[in-house]
Amino acid sequence: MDKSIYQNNWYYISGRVNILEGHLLNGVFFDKLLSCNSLHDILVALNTSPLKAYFTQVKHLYEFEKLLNDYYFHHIREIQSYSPDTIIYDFFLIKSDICNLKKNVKAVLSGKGIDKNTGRMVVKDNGEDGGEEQTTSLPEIFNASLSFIKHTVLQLTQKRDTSPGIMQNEESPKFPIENGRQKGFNIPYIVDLILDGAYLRYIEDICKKIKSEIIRKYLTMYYVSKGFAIIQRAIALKHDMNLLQQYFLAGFDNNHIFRKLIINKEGISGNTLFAGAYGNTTLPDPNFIQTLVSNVFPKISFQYEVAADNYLIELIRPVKYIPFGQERIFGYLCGLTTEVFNLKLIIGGKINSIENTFLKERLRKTYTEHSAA
Amino acid sequence: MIELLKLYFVQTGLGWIILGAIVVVTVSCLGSAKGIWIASSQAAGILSEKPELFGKMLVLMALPGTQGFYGFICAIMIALRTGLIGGKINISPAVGGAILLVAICMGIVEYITAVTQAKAAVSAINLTGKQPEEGGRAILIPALVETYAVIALLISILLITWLTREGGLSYTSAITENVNWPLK
Repeated sequence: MDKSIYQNNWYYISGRVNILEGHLLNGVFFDKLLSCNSLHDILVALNTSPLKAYFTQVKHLYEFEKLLNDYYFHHIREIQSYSPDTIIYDFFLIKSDICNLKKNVKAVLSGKGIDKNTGRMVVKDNGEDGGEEQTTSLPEIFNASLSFIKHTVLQLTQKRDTSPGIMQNEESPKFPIENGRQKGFNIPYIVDLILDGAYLRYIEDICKKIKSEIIRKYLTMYYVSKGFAIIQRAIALKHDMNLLQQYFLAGFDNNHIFRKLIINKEGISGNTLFAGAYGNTTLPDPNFIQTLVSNVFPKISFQYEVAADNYLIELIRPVKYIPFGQERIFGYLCGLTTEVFNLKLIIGGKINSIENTFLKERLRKTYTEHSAA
Repeated sequence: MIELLKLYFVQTGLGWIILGAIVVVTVSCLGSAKGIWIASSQAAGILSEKPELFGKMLVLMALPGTQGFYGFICAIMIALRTGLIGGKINISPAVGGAILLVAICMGIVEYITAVTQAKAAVSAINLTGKQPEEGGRAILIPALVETYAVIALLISILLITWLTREGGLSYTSAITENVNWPLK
């Protein structure tokens, strides 16, 4: 099929997504997976689902993460290839690129090699690429952060080569002790802060480029919730706030909400934080704030992330009723991301013999209530 | 050239009616083509996953095509009633201008209804894709938009008939019987 015929409009891919939406797994299927007693039962359940093509030849589930990544990236790449605009796909793809980048930078810092089996570089395209590996580059907005990390990594690797005792492995880094504190102990944390900050700025940037009101709202809510989680964690774990200021907030405006959140860290135990933090800036949806406040305090909890993700999926769900356009595609991709997350959670949990109650309370709401599965 | 233009647009309404016929058929057909493009692109997306639905999709894809035919009917009506086809052309420039106006309005309505019908057809296509058993009812959704395309066609035919009736454009009533109509 000549893709260029369909690359000028959203109609073709909207029609396709309309059917693909029906293949998304719903809550009933995840309950069924949770009730499975063995990995074999999970495999059987997956082989009766729309993911069958990816799990038919699989003998055991230990490679589930790679299979699910293949499934996820294959879908995104295929839909992207028929779309007139790729900006909405970048949001999903770059999210995983950043995760892999963080993982690999930390691996380098701890003296391990780069894991080439992560991320979309291993996703095969069955189209004109002939199954060759694809490399990608991050948008320009990441350049400053990346060059800073490169510089840091280079410095540290040189140091490691000259002092072989430093950072032998990630689990127990052997940093030199200076003034009673381990020097360099914060490096992985700093890498996280730099890349998370760059990623959130990138989302802010694509918010400005996207015309769709609902996608913009989703992205705004997304980066507020993620940024808040980073700040909250830093405060709760008593990290050095100067590091947060220096590496996370460096690229944000002086009036940015994240800066206000840090200033108001003393009042981080209730609604007052939000009132103080938002000040004169446009306040996000009050329901959203309520959801966050009721789930995050008084301590860091997984419930915050669950509540934020559930809120976001509820926010984007109405786009199911838009017959065509990038909103429809974006909604589907959000649903697909949630589906893959839930599958990884359940399968990973089952492999590691985690209790069902722990898994169930961490499951995210699905995009579709009714599905073919 | 100037003489020819005078003959077509000043001395007679021949130029105006030819323009009218061209406008109505062109605009309507463009609308239909765009409508079919929208509906068929969406249907192609559905069919890439469910090829067995082709029969049901075909009707929905074809629905926005009717406006092109209505434009064609209107153009034929203009040609027949004005004597452009097999008759004696006796149209004043004012009547020609009025027919052109009718044709423009008809073209606009057909264009817009074709595109909006395509969007309604897209919704119906999505519905049929998800619930094939609802395909019969789904056809009704874009068919409702068709009503307005048909109304536009009917009113155009009536207006063209009225404008081109025997004796020219005239109206007689107790009040206006002594009015000397300029179009007569």
